[in-house]
Amino acid sequence: MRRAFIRHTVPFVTTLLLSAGAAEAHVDSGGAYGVAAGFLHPITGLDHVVAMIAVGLWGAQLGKPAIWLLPITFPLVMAFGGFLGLLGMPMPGVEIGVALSGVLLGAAVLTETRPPLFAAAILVGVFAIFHGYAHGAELSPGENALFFSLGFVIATGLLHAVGIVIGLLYQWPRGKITVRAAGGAVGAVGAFFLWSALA
Amino acid sequence: MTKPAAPRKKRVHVVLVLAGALAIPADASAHLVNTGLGPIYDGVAHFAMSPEAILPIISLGIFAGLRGVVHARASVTSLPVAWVAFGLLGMLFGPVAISPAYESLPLLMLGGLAAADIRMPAWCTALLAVLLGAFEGYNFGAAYSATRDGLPAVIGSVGLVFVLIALASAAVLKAKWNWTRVAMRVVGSWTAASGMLLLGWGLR
Repeated sequence: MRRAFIRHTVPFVTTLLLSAGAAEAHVDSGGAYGVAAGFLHPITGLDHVVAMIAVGLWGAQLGKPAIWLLPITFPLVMAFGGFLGLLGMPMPGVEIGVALSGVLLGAAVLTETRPPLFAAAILVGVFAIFHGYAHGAELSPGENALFFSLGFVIATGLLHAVGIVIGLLYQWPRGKITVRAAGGAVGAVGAFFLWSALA
Repeated sequence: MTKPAAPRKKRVHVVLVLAGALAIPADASAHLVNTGLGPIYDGVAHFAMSPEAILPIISLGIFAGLRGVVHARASVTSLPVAWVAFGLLGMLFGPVAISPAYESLPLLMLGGLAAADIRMPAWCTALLAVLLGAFEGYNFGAAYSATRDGLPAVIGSVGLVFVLIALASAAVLKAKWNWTRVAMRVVGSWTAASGMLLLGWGLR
């Protein structure tokens, strides 16, 4: 029985091994790689992640129309910041701006600040330019531009969506505490990065 | 009693051979324009593998769908006609040396319009569809200027263009809830943002 098994398996495995193609270990190109690289770019920096989530949290806390207006405007304005970064326009204090966005947006969620819609949109828009610029200035020239941009924007939008989903808890009393605590956590992370940027 | 073992052995062999054949790695060939099914299908495959042409058409469909049935009809009829007309011109005159940054403009403009859900007359939507069809159709036709089988490829591609614009605009027209309209505008916003980044990349 065992011999029969070996007689069947060994030729099968040998055939598989002989049919293996070239390794191509360094092929980091093409659409899929571009989307993956763009997708990972915003979610691998904690300072960016917390600020994006805070935008969603704040939008959900402010209710309609901010819940959808802020996530629609943020990617557009952020892309404009990325555009400036890609062109190499000088912008001082980018890291401080990024860290400050975490502090202020987190504080706004924690303290349930309710400014007029245009003021909230302007605040979010200004911070979006800093975030976009930081990403745009870091992008390497070898990437597949369209796929990288798509992955990048989708990841940013999904981070907002995470914030909005958490923010939907705000309609329940305990959820209110959870959302405010999440805002506090965002502010604390932002304060850490602000400290690092100023040090 | 031992006789039934022979067919079973055979079945085991067949299964092993099939499994081995399926497990043999081969090239994906996902971006081949030459499908082997003829020039019409080559055109369909070429368009299906061109996200830079697909995304603006989806954005136009979203914008037209958000604006209403008259706008949707205008875009569904104008876009394919312009695509074929300028595709034929592209086949005749060949590629034009323009900056790749211009590829981002349809994404940026149509995505921005869909995100903002701007009110405009239906003839403006038709004009946008003609401009998009002219730009993308010309590029598509120009890619076939060196070959003799360009016309069937353009006709094949325009079939898929028609299906895509019709499906996109119809899907948005049928959106009953407010949140689905918002979701469509978010898609427009993301498309415009991608176009903005692409423009920066092209001008870099």
